[in-house]
Amino acid sequence: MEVRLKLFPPLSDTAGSSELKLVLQDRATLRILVETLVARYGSPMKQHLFDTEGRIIPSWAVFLNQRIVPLNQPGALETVIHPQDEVSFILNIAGG
Amino acid sequence: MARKKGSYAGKILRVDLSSGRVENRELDPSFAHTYIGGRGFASRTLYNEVPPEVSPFDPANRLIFTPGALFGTAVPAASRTTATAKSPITEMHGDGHSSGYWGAVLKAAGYDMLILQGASPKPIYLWIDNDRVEIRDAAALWGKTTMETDQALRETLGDREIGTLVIGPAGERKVRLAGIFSDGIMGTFARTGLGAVMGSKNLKAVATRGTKDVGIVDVEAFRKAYQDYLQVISVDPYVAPATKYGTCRFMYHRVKFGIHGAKNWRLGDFDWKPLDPEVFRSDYQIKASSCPMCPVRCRREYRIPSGKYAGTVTKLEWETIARSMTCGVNDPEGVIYFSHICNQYGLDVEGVGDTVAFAMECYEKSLLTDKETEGLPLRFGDPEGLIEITRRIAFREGVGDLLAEGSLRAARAIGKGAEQFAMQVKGSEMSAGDPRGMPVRAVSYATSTRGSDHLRSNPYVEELITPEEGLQHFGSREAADIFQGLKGKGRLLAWSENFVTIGDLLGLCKFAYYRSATFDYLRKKGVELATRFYNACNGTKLSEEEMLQAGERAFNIEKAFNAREGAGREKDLIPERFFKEALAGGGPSYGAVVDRGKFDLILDEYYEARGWNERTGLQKRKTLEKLGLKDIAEDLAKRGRLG
Repeated sequence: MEVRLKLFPPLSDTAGSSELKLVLQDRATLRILVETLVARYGSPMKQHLFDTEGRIIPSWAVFLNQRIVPLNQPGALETVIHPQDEVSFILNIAGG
Repeated sequence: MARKKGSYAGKILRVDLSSGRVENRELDPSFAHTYIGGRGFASRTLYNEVPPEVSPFDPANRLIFTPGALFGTAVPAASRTTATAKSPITEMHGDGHSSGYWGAVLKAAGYDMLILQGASPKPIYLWIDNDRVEIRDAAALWGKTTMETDQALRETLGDREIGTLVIGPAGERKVRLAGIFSDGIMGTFARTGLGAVMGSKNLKAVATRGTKDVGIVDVEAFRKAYQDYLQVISVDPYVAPATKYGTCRFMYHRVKFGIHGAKNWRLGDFDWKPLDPEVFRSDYQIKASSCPMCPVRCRREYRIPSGKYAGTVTKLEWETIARSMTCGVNDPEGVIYFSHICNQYGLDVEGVGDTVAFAMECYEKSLLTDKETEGLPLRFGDPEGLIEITRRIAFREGVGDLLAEGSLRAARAIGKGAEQFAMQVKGSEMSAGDPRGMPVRAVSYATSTRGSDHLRSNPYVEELITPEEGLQHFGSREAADIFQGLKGKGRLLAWSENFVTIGDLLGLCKFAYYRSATFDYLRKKGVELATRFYNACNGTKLSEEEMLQAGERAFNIEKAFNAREGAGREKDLIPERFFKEALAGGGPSYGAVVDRGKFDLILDEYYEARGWNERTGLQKRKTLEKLGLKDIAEDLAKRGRLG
């Protein structure tokens, strides 16, 4: 299936684009999506998404269309993505 | 203090602007290590010297400047100074924090704190040249903008390297939304109306030259801490967008959560695309730079290349964009020019933006008409209206004179229910993003000791902790749930207030130390490395717990100041609009309100975590005594203000 991906900095800088289309297996999860991004863009992408202990950085919020899936919640990475979903990654830290 | 090595300069300078008397005394080491510096020095001094009977514009009000304890050293991003006074906007504890060089120059001149009292009968400026302190005539400076004043001082004094603090025309006119500007417009003590306090003393500027050094006692420990700091920021994904876009980056967060608060805090969604950070970067940015010693480099200057405002060059921060949207404005050149005139006239963009948004809603509802505005339409979305009314506020012209008092006082003068449109906490206008749907953020705006403020705490901790970390540090897994969680939120808020106060004691930038992508990175920078830097600079052995307690102590002194002024739980409140009116305009947070029951439950837990009385919101004696503030407990007891 094809999913549309919207990336915000710094992910967009690493990917070289703020909008991507990815082909994933049907009923792919956010975990598979993250792994696909890391496989495609290598260690810079991994550094943005995982901390130095190898844990997913919890302050990434993923939006499936308009619905937020905070990655600091249990099971968030097992969320299933559907065809034509728009998936956005935004660093969930306001600060200003 | 006898020794000269370490991060302290060693002296406190006091100038009475009424009598001209200058006093120079040694910094007491026990005072230094108890209150650390910055907000700690200032809050303690303000409490001691400004009792409730002193009004903000009374000459007896103090205006206190305190560089952070690490400012002037080589600690990265240690570049912040605190200005403190009884605030003319809240009539409570008021402070503002600024970058710029002035604080480091004051320490190089030999001083850790400058206390100003009294008022001059005529315009003056203060010239501090190391040990020589002079009060000089400022007739030639009066009326000048901030940049003009800064330039004139550098030319008059024949030294381009001096540090300066100045006010613009707004401060001269005691506009309650006026700030104090450091080194031209490099930094701004923006909030709580301190420029008006400086104006009330007829003090146009403070110019300073310093040629002494502060130092580092344990160079090896400092070097290790420095390396560890660089290591953390090199892996923290929070940093890269800051370096790329400056603070404009926060737009993306607001967009995805739909919490713009556009059109006087009514709309969560808004046509923001013209204000995309990429637009500012590609079309207007001319310079990326940093505050002193900062590796993050999030400062930005913008230039309008053509059109009505062609040639305008100014710095601009995210809050200017946010408050422009509060006024419904999404024209980037209008936003840059709004920033420019606020900087030149010496105004706080947040206070002004929200006050203008208030006026626009009054105009929309015919509570203000063309008669009062003298034909100036105050329509949401009109950048020219925003710019012109800002000018009138700065010069107190026409309806600008009314709005120069801030939204709450203006609302009370207008009457007819206008107060419901004044979006403020404790009299100070809102800042940052809309809190609807995020209850702990709502409570954090309420508990801030200087009125609505997103920098007084770090409630965003809830966004970056895991449920396990929530349980471990705040007693509940719910602390990590942004939208539904309740338990642990009050404890999280109390901790985060103490935590970020450390930055204000040491002079560390909030963005460089107190925002991060993980809780581990955050604590590593904000507590562990902050404490290691302090100890390395001063040869001390302060523990991280003691540093956090120093933050708690300063926060409690400010709270005590406000309690002594009569503020209790009833002042820890946000505008009714957030409880009653659902966020409109579509977007992810469409329909959200702040649930009053949740708000109260979090506030209850917060007071309990702080050791304050849940019913009254006032401090308990044992809490103050635990912090070494027995004298304040006695003072509050005498006045019937203990919880």
